[in-house]
Amino acid sequence: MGLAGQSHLGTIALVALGSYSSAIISQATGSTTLVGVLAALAIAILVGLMLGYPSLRVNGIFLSLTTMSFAQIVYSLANNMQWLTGGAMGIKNIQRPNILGWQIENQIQLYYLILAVSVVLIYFTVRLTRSKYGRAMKAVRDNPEAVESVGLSVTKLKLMAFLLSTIFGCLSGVFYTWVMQYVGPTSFTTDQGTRFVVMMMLGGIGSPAGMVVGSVLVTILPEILRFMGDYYQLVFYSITLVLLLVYPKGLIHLFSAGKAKVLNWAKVIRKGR
Amino acid sequence: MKKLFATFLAMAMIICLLAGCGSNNNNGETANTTPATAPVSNAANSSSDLDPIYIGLSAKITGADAANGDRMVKAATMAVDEINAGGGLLGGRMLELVIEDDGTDNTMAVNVANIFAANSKISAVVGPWNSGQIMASESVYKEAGIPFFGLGTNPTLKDLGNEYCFLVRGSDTIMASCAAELVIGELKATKVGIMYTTNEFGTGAMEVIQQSCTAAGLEVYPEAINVGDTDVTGQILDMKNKGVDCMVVWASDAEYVLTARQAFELGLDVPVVASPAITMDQVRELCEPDWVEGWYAITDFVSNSTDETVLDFCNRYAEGYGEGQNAELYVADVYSTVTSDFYFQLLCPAVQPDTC
Repeated sequence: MGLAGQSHLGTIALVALGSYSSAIISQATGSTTLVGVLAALAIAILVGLMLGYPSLRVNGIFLSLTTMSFAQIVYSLANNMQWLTGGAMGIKNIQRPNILGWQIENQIQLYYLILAVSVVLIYFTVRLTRSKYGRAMKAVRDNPEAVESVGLSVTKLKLMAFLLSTIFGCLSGVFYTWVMQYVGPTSFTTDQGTRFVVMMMLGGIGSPAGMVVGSVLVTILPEILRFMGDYYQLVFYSITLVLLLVYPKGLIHLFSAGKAKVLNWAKVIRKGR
Repeated sequence: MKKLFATFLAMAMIICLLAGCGSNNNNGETANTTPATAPVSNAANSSSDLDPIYIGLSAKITGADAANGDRMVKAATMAVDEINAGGGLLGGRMLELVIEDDGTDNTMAVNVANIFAANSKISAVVGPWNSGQIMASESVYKEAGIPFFGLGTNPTLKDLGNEYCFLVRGSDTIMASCAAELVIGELKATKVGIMYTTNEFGTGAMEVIQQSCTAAGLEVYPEAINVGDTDVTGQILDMKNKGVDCMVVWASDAEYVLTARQAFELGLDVPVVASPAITMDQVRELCEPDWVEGWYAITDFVSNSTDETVLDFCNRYAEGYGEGQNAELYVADVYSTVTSDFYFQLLCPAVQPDTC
């Protein structure tokens, strides 16, 4: 979404949808995990289209508000549709995944499984950003009129960005369910959604490497700072604030700046010789 | 630059691959034998040669309920200090408290459970407090084989089927049944409105009260409040229009104050039965006395009791933490859990022979 210049602040709702759909389907059918994943993907495509089409009419802050409202709607539904989601009590005793007969038995196996899938997804994202579609999405972000003028459909590109973000969001929800083995609405409040925004801003919007850096920092840094006792959250958010002020384009731009400097020095050295 | 990026990526991958090592395996055997990460008890530096017994505390130190998390920490520390001052447990072994913050958040509660599971010296864990966090983290404790004392009250917790989960407090089945009994028997209500927060705490109790009151032939009007709502006039006016002659409030701290104020301002002058939160200082101090005058509360503990044991406990707490500190529900429940003989004298040596 960031690549196409679309500000989606409802990522937590996508995570919730993926999480609940896989949990509900797996519980209801008692079947293998694959069915749950497929259900989550189906929901992702459906929601991507349902949310994507109306959102084509809005941009910027209005799109942010639309997606935030969507997140609140999903949270309220999860909290109140007790017959389906278990309401405030959620769904518990969810089994660990069984991938085509391979039963995941502990957190370590699960960690490596999710790590492997994440690597594949990150690789896909990197390839996508460098493909013609990725470049077209960047063009939509920078100059949509120019994109139209060369015969590309801005509508289709924006919709593709929406679909991809819902698929990724829902898949992360499936992983969350596997790790937690419990799904409850309090995990999907708008407060939790703010963490995703912090991840994006900290890492660098529109950059796959930035997303990874941001997610790792926001997840691991508070755990590293736990030794500070009562003050660790204060220190974490202070560090985040300083980083955002110093690197408004995200930490990943440190690498870009570093790259430019190294190339500059190399040029100077070569000229000196 | 590509080479630099590739090197960075390779390093990140190696770190990710190695990150899986060092955690506990499926049988609960731990590879990481580092000692407790943050012992805070004042009596930690014991002269005893015997190994201490480490207890984990999963407390909500940060987040929306941090005030109560602070009480949990103080209560557990006080209990550990008293036990150590009395010579320790199991033949003179000192207790050491390892405190971790679960932030009233499901994901953080699981992180905390994983931290405790990776520490082979932890013999038991007190907490988490909230039912949602108990449901989220119970499987981690079960796999690690660490008994934990959950302080949640949701009635469905008893169906977890986890032999390592001990529920300390009275279930909402009991608490909410008491509220229903008061409404039906003492207050002789005929139309009862129930204001409840739509979380696991409020919903669980609402269902019990609704069931009991409906069975007794009362008309019941449940009104939901979402956590974080800043206006409940709609719900209160709805109750007034329906002519309720009694209101039950089962809500979180902030929603309590809001309900008390707006019910008073809108003139809903009916008897009110409330959950334990209304007995807490941080709630009462935010309410004008007129707002909550005559309210009934269903609670496991009241600090203004005249019982000698309670008075002595409250005095010791005030002596330890200052005159302004009032021993309340959170303090009493965590203190009783840590000082309970049940676990350390009877159960722990059997289920955790390596640590007890």
